[in-house]
Order: sequence, then structure tokens, then C-alpha cells
Amino acid sequence: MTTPTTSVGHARLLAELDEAARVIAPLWPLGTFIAVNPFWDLRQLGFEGAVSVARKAFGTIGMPSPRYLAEALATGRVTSADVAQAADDVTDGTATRIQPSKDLTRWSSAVPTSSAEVNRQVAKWCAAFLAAKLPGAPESAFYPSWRAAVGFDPGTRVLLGRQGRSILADLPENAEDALAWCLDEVCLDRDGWRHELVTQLVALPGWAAHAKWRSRWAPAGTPGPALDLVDYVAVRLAYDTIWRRRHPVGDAPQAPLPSARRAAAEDPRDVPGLSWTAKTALAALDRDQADRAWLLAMERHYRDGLLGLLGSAADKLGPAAEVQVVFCIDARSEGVRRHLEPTGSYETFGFAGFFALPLRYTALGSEPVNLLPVLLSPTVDMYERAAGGQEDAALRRISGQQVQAQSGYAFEQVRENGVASFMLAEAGGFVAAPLLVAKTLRPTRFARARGRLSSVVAPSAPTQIEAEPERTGMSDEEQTLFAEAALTSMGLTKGFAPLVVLCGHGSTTENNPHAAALDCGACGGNRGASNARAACAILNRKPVRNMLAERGIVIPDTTHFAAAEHDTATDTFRFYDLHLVPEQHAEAVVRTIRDLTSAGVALATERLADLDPAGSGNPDPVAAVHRRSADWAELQPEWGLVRNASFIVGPRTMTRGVNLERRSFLHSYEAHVDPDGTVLETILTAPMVVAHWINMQYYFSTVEPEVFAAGDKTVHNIVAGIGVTEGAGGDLKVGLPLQSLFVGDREFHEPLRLLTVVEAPISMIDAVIARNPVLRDLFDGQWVHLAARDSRAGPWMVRTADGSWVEWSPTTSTYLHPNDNATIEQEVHHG
Amino acid sequence: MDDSWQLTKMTKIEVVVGGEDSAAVAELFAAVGASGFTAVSNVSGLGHDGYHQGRLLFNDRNGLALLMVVLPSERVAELLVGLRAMLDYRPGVLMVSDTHVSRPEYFQ
Repeated sequence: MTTPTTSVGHARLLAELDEAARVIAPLWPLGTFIAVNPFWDLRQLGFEGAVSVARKAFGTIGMPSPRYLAEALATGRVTSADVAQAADDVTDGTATRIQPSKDLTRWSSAVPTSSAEVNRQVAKWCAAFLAAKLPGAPESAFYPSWRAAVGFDPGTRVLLGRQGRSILADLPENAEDALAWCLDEVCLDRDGWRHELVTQLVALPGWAAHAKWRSRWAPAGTPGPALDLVDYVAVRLAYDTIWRRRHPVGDAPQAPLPSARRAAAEDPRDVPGLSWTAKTALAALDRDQADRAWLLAMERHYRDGLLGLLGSAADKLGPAAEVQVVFCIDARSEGVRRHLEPTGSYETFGFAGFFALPLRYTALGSEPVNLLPVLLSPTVDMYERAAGGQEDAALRRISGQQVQAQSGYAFEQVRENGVASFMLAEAGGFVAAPLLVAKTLRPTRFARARGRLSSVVAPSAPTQIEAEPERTGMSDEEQTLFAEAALTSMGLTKGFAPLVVLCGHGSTTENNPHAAALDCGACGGNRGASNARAACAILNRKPVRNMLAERGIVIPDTTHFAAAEHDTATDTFRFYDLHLVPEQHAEAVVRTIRDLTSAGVALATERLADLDPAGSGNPDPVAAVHRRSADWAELQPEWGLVRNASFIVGPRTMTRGVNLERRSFLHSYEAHVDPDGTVLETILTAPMVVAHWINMQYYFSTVEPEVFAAGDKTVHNIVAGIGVTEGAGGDLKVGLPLQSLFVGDREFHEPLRLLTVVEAPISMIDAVIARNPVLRDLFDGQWVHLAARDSRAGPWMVRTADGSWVEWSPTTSTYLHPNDNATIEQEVHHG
Repeated sequence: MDDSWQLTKMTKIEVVVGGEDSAAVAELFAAVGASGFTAVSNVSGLGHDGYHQGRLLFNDRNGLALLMVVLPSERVAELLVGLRAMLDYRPGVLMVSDTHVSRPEYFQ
């Protein structure tokens, strides 16, 4: 056959593909998995506009199901009064705003059509390419690798016939040319390109999402096979083009869309248990409006409860604290702070856990890794080195690490070898079997024994992170700028305690492909200790402190910064670089370790009630959470950021003493040290955006688990270390595993859009929003709700969909716990 | 323009887009064979969508970026088709002007 040719310009083609790919969010590899708003690139349409597009592209509803609504109503998470009020507001248009329709119309024709057989073939090639099993991999791109191999593939011959397979093998050498040729084959004209490209992308949204990450988000120089968008769509459409020739449109059996199944069975206007008034109000709405009214009602119910609590929180800080602890804004830190503060003279802060350092970090004997939010590129290189006089110990550690790495590599090589793997099973089975039994029946002891063995092979060695300018490439001035940004952003510019602890976080779990989702999002899905150590190293340097003093931030010589890490699976804490702690601070460190341990026990007890309600009252909650952390069969080692709902920006005195149930991201902020709003701008354009991504990932994974959740952990298979499939193959799963969201088939996560609460002058907030399009998108588009007050004495104001502010007036006054109906007020007053 | 300057006439295309769209624009440059381009991140200014803040401290993706490329005139048309298609649905600015370079082989 003659190689097909096309005269279509690549630039137009790539622009169309870029537009089509807005329906897909990037999917980060498992090692740096982070939560993302599945419709981030549609954010300009507003929440409702994006949900509307998703309905056409994916067949989803994008709203909580009526079954869930009934449960929320029955358990007090929303009331009939909330629903009636929201329904009235939706009716008169004051509650929501539909974005201009120009963008919506261009998506109106997107309807998914696909062949399961085509999907199977394409998924097979993607997996093989990422596992470097195709010709030319990993250096070659996906399309040429596939093209070189497809002519010999029996599966393709079965699907498309010998002739069809030949056509694929003879496609143009260049992916763009092949894509253009296919588009010309299947589209009547170029106006149909976008619809066709969207169809290809949503057919296997997981693989498309990985390709989008690779093309748009992967850092330059990312190792491994690069499966990019153009190549991926070219291969997918090539199959589809030939397949359609053999199967005229309409032959393909298609499963009913999720929205069709739900629409046939459930109606948000018929939820049982509503008052007559609410029912009447909902009856005046169509189904979509009723969905919106319900969501608003639940969000307002949460908002009313939260603002009521913050309004009553008095300034309880007394004399200067002896220890200040800076935690990540992660919602899980709220629990630690709440339990730590009553144990002694502590003041706590919330700040993004990368501690303002866009860090590329090289641990002793390891490869560099980026430890920063995905919105940033690394600009700082820092290195771990042996502490003074500990070089021999460090060499022993590196040598042991190399032995471990080489053993692991050799094991994997043997395991992947077709013949040797059988020999491995024969030879090693008698050793492995009892180990597996021990690992299963005694997970905690097994983990301890493994840890001891590891410490024998690679004994720990005192190290420190190098911060001297000649070792890092960061001048004193640059370090000072980072330090100033960090301290100003967290509102810690004076009144330094003798000991300031920067506490990152990470999560220790076993056999958990999505482990990175439980680590620190601000550190790019990595553990946060290294950032804390690096920040401390800078903040303890005399030249940096001298320059900070010139800029008005005076850190006393008697103040020491120490690094720690909270393990959110076990609620234990580890301090780092203790050999660097001056003797006069040793007692404070010991006391802090003791109090953090005590707080961890209290928090573990609290969390265990959620993890295992049947086992509440467990006499040893610490052992129970340790078992979950170490157990390789445990499906819910911790709940992560489940039920996250708010992002609170202000001084701790707003929230201290209030049980926020680990649902709030807490960012410290002092408006009086930020006259021009630059700090607030930084908080809203970065940490809040990350919190919004997390919030939307949880939201859509919960309300549309078939499309936006990662499925059941028990049947996950890891593909090339990149993602998971459910079962033996198929599409990569996006989003969070079901066990991170549900208990059985009941939602544990409460799907609400993020509520941002700010204590700062309204005029300043308006100015910050006005100069940042991303904030206009999020607030005007109702992706994020916003409430604010000028000062502690001022009334709460709520920002409406048209950008105006109205004084907050609660619909109901009692906030009910989602699970046990206990009010927060009761917990505060009696707990 | 004095011939003694020995400059070669070319076309300069400047695009201002959101930082997160920089990769897509760079992809279009590459698609028409541009051998290089210049990018200036975190630019600010006022457009019909309102004011756009410059550098954001902890967010490289949502500021504006200015990308410049210089091309022989025969490659400009195709690039403009792609850029126009892209800017049809997202905020941005496209400017095209004549320019002169002293080492044309760098821009072929």
C-alpha cells in the first residue's frame, strides 16, 4: 500500500488537540501522585459549565446522588430548611451563575463512542511502551515504536484483519501526519476534528491523562519512556479509523452511560424525608437545578456551622509560647495542633509543607528528587552530607544502601525473566513462605524486624543538609529572601520562641500503590522532612539572620529551628538533626517530643474511631494504627484528607480550641503585616489552589466513582510504576481508590466544594482577586466559596456568584457531625 | 535600513499566554520547525480580561508568559493558523512584526 499523505499543517492540528485535551486532567505517576481537579483546564467555564461538559464527554452527572442526599438529610448534614432556601435561590438565580455560553457550545457535540476491543489493543501498547518492551524504547517515542511493532502483532490482525494491520504499519512515519490522515478519514470536515479528538481522549481517559501529564506537566528531563499526547491520540485514532471501516457506526455494543442509568432510577426532587416546603420548592426546579440546590444546601449547612464556631472563638493566647511549631496546612495537621496546644506552652502555625523552598534535594547516596508543589519548578539545589566526623559512618550507610538496591534489582531481574522466575520460586519458596506468613499474621512485628535488619545492613549515620552558599549555589541574599518569604507568609515575624519546630509530614503504609497520595502534596507527593530540615538549616545560619534583621525580622540568637516529621498513618513524630540542637535547647526538644507523642496518642484514638467504628474503645489505639500502617493487606491504613471542606486563612486565634475534625486546611496569616496583600495573594494563588485540587479530586472521585475514582484496591495491578489498572489490563485508573472514599458502598467523604475563609480587609481580598485571573475563575466560577471578615469584630461576609458581598446570615445554627450527630459545640464544651 | 548592515529580514512573532499554556505554544513553534525561541515568564499587564498580576511567589503556572520566535516568512502562515486556533478559546495576545537578524542560519 502507498503511505497515506496529508497536506494539513501540524500547527493547526496541535492547537485542536490542545483544546480537545482540556477535558482531561493530568495524571501524575504513582511515585509522585497528587490530587488534581479533574476539570482544571475547564475551570474558565465555572463549576456548572465544566460539569455540563463532563456530562456530554463522560456521561457523568457530577453531583451527589439522591441516595446520598437522603442519607445526608437523615443524618443532619443538611436540613429541609437549607434545601428550601437553596431551591429558592436557584430559582431566582442569585445562587449560581452560568458562564457565557460561547465556550459551552464548542463542547456540545462531544459524545463518547468507542470500541472495547480497540481500547484493549491501545491499552496493551501503552503498557508495553512504558515497560520499555517496544522497539527503540525508552529513547524512541511511542508512535514510531508502535508503528515498528504493530505489523507483527497477532492481536491487531485478529481485530482489524491482515489488511487493516498492514494499513497501520504503513501509516506515515510522523505521528502528526498519521493523526491528520486519520482525521481526514473519519471527519467530514475540519470542524469535526475537535469532537473526534475528544472522543479519542475520553475513550481511555486514564492513558490520555498520563499522556497529558507527560506532554504538559512532566519536568524537563523526566526519565523513562515518554508517551505524549500526539503519539497517544495518533495510535488510538489509527486503530479506530480502521476498525470503523470494518464496523459501520452503530454496530458497537455500548454500555449505558452512568448518567443514563442514574437518571432512569433517581430524581433529586423525590428524596424522602423532606418537609412539604422543601418539596414544593424543589418541585419548581428541573433536575439539574434541583441537583444544584441540594449541593448548595449542604455546603451552606457546613459553612453556617463553621462560621458560627469561628465567630465564637475568643483570643485564648496568654504569655509568649515557649515552643512554636509550624505544621503543614494539610487538614490532618489540624488534629495534631488541637491535641498538642493544651499540653503545654505551645503556639502553632500552618504553612505549606515545602516551607517556601522549591527544592531539588539529593539525599546521601541517592538520586535528586523534586520536593515542591507541582505549580512550581525547582530553583534550589540542596544536599545531605555526613555530619562532621561521621564520614566513615556515612560511607557504611551508603554501602549498605547500595547492597539493598542491588539485591532488589537482582531480584526484579530474576523475577521478570521467563525461566529464572520459576527457579526463583523453587529455590526461594521455602524461605519466602514463612516470611509471608509472618508478614501477614504479625505485620507490626514483621515491620520492626525488617527495620532492624535494614539498620544492620545500612546503619544510620548522623547527617545534615548543607546550607553554606558555596555548597548549595544559593547566596546568603537568596537564602534570606526564601526565609523572609516563609516567615512573612506564615505570619511569624516577631515573638520567636526559644525553640521553633518545622514539622513536615509523610505516611508510612505497606503495599499501597497510592502511598504518595498520603504524603505531602506541597512536597509533590513526597515526605516533608527534607524540606523542614533544609529550611531549618537556612534559618539557623547567622548570615541569614543578620540580613533578616536588616529587613525587620529579628530572630534572637537564643532561638533554634528544629526539624520534625509527623507520620500521619501512625501519629508518631520523628525529630531530625538532633546532633545540631544546642545544649540549652535540649530540654525543650525532649519536652516537645513528649508532648507530641501524647498528642499523637490522642489523635490516634480519635482517628481510630473513624477507621474502625466497631472497635471504638480499643484499649491500645496506638498499636491499632501501627498495625494498619504495617499491614500489607490493610485497605484503609488511614483516611488521608477525606471529608476536607474548608481552607481557613488567618491567625490561629480564630480556630484555637475548636474541633474542626481534620476537615480544614489551616494557613496562618496576619493581615496587619501584609498592607499591600502580597502575602494573601501568595496564599490564595498557591496553597489554596492546591487545596482546591485536593478538594475537587475527592469530590469527583466520590460523586462519580465509575469515571473519576481509581476503583477497588483489591484488584489493582501496577503498570510500569506509572499507574494502576483494575484487573489484568485496560485503562489506567485516575483519582483515588474507592477505599479512600467509601465504607462499603456508603460515602465516607462528604462531597462539598471548598469553602475558603479569610480574615482580612474585604477591599484587599477584592484587589487580590481582581489582579489574578485564576482566582476570578475559581471564585466567580463557584469552584470555591469564599467568606471573609475585615477583622475579628466585623461580621462575616459571603462572596456571591456575581462578585458582590452579602452579610452572612445562617439558615440553621447547629452543625451536626456527619457520623454520630454529636455537635461540635458539645465536643468543645464537654470534651 | 542600510544594506551595509548585512542583516536578513525575518518575521518575529510574540505571544502572551498563561504560563500553563507555554508548553503548547512551544509545541506549535517546534511544529513549524523553529529551532529556538525566547520565553519571559511572569509578565504582567492589562488586557480585556482585566489586570494580570506578574510574578506569583509560589505558582509558576498561572502567571503570564511572553514567548518570542523569529522565523523565515514562509513558515509564518502555518504557525499563525495554529496560534489563532489556540487563542480563539483562551486569553492571550499575538503580535507579528518584521525584524532583522545578523545570523539568519540560526533561524532557519
